[in-house]
Amino acid sequence: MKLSFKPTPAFVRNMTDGHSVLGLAVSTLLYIVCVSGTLAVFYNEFERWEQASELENLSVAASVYQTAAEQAIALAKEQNEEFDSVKFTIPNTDMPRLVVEVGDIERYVAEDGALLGEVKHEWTHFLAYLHFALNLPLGLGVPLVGLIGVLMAALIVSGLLAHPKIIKDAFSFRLSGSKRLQQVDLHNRLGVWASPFHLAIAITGAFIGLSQVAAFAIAGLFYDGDTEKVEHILYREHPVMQENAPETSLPDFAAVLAEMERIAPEEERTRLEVAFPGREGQVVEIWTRVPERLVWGERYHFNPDGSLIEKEGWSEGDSAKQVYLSTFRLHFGHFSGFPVKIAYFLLGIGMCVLVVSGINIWLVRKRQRGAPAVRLERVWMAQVWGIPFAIALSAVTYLAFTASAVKVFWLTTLSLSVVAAFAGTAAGWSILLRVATIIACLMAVIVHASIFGADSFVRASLVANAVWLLTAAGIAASCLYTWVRRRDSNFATAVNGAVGSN
Amino acid sequence: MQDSFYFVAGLASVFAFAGIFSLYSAWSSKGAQPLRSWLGWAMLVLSAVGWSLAVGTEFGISIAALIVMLGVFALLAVRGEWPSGPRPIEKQRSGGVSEPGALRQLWLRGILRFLSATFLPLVSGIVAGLLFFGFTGLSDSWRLVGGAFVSVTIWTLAVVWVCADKKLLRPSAGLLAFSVLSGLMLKLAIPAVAA
Repeated sequence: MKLSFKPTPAFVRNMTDGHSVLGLAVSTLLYIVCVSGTLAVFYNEFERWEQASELENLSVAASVYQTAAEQAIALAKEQNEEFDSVKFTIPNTDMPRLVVEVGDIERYVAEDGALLGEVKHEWTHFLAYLHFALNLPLGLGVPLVGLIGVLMAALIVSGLLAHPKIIKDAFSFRLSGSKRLQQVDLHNRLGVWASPFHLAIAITGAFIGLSQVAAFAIAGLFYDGDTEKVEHILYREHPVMQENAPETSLPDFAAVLAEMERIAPEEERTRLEVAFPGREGQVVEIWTRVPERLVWGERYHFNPDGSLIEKEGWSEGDSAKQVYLSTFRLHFGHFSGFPVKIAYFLLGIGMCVLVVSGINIWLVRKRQRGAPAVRLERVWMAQVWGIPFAIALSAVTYLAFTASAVKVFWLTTLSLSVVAAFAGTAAGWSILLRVATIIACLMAVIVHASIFGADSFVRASLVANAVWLLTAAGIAASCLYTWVRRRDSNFATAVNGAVGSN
Repeated sequence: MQDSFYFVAGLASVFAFAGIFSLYSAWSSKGAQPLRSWLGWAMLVLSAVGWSLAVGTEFGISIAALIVMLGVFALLAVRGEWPSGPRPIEKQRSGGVSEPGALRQLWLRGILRFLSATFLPLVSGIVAGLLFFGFTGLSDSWRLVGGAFVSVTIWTLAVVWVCADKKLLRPSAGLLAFSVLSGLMLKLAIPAVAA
């Protein structure tokens, strides 16, 4: 028996039509998710960039936690802040700053344990929130982005099935052909070769976005609506504090950290949490990152005297938990250091180009059939370049005036889309917004440097500013390329005209 | 340790680029080149093995895949047919403006298809996940995680089916029947399963 799959022309045509309907329907939202996700690869760097001058120090003495916890609790009591835990970000390679969190208070910590300034990452949070919830309320936005993940996976599958000459065309990249052929080759090469990356991102994104929906459905049907029971299948139950538990001294941080060092010296600590600090029954949790593993991390539970209660076992044992907890770092590209982030960033740009070229193919096809969708072409072009522009502009206005990034982004994007529906040309919008994006990216660096001075060009700020500058350089190169091609075309037209008139 | 890491990682990267080039030469030349093609795939597998030795299996496979993808794009950028000179004049048919009625019908059909592709597969996907959770005898965590993956997979494939089948009624009826029957099954069996 010969096992082969040879799609008929009708199958390919149907699959292509379905692919088009789906792509057109989700184009703008998918593009927003892709652009914001590409930048969000550098989430940690952008967080540090926003407060570029804060102290960074990887080695912190245990006594610092003690002092900082006491001061943070005192501050929370002074401000009548309700809390049931003290959380520390342990300085690590991604975030080398000691941060303490009590209730809604979040402060940096000095080397002697004194509390420093407030932690403010509004712009980075806007970017991440745009990516995972489109700035909508969480209950609506997260499942919506999860749905976009499913539709993206369907687009990838239908795109591959609609491609009968997948091997034959694997390396053909005919950018010198007609505009449609250019876009088709760009779309197909990016789509086919990067499909493992796209599928991994789409499926893990859908999985992360829809896990709450799945938990609600399972809880509703099998656990009388108790979602906590579903959650506890994967996570250990949190300890419950007894009513009016008597006060006691804070945990022995030195003993806990020493025990941690003894148990798992190779694991990088990322987070320390004290549940019910200073109360009878308090427990300490330490989160770590396990070398060479994709799992989000490992969690250790300690008694206040530093003795280990248990290791949660995310990185070993139950393989289902390991699979689930591996989806996050695979999606974010936060594994194996900076080179992987760069790879994710580049492939993310490829994903954005894939979305844009897909819609361009449809628009060019309409034009070639003699029914150009002129208004849609303008709106699409205004969105393609308007969305990166709006993101860069939101960074500039946030840095300069602390303006709400959410408002700036959505007002700019919507205004540009509406205006483009009635005015200009697609080519005009393209060049105008490309130049505007270049200026906005450069302004982000200039404004940042004017606020933080030399701190703008060291450590994470150097990375974030390099992202802005390289983005500007890439778009400038595309402008230059367009200009050269246009000049050559005008020259050829003029020469042909002169020859013709002779 | 550090030296051996760089050696193994470097060798694995060389395998990746050699694999890409082998596939490129096999698929770009006229006639079938199975040997070069298989050699290319073998090199890519060796690259994944090498990276796995250097940084562990999970990171290794991921990094090897990333290198192949970026390597291919670099090759395409170098070997691609870049345009030079003036832009070609695009042919455009004239008089192809559709009737407003026909255009409206086309949009309406597209919207209907999209709505069907969004909602019916959603229900089918979730029901499939619930069936997996309710009726497989695996551990709780596997039923939960597996159910979620089954849900996403069925959902995705159902979207593809609804979008690609010219007769919209066929996938719609199929998915509706699946959802209703599975829903009934869950409804009837749940007391026993939950117990």
